[in-house]
Amino acid sequence: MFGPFRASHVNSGGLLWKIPWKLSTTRKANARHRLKKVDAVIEAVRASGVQCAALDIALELPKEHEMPARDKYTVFTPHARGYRKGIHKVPKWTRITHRTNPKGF
Amino acid sequence: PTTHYKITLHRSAISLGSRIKSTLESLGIHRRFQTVYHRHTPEAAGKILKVKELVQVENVTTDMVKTKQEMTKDRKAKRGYTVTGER
Repeated sequence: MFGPFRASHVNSGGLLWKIPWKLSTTRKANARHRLKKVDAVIEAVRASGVQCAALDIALELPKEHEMPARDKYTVFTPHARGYRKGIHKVPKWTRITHRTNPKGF
Repeated sequence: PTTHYKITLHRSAISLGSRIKSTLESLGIHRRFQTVYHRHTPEAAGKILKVKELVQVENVTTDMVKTKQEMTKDRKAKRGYTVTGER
């Protein structure tokens, strides 16, 4: 009943993979909250004063309040009209960092 | 002057690959909500940034660093009595 496959009428095949094309308000709020948490981790490492290459790369990432809504809730795809798809279609999207997309898309 | 990172794992690394899992192992974290302390070093910073989506980090001073036994003792509930002697 839960998960990607939801039971539908046996006449129409029995299994229907229904995933909404955009994120709901709750999901967007949770996504923003997760971005802020990652910002806090990067800020803690920066405040500690150590210098490392990973920190230089992490500081180049845009912060949550600097990101446009497009980048928070959609990602670039070369296959769809408009060249964008919902970020929730990226595997493990709640546990990976995906903040930037190709310039101009 | 803060000297240590207090690292707590909040999201698991299931199906994120062996690199991320190895990073958590090298930090000494074995389960969710486990807390671990590491000195401020570039190595520790790099490991934290590798798993930045999974952990929460706080900068603490040396006197706030707790060993595993001390953290376990803090979690334990106090007895409702004290033992004063035998019989």
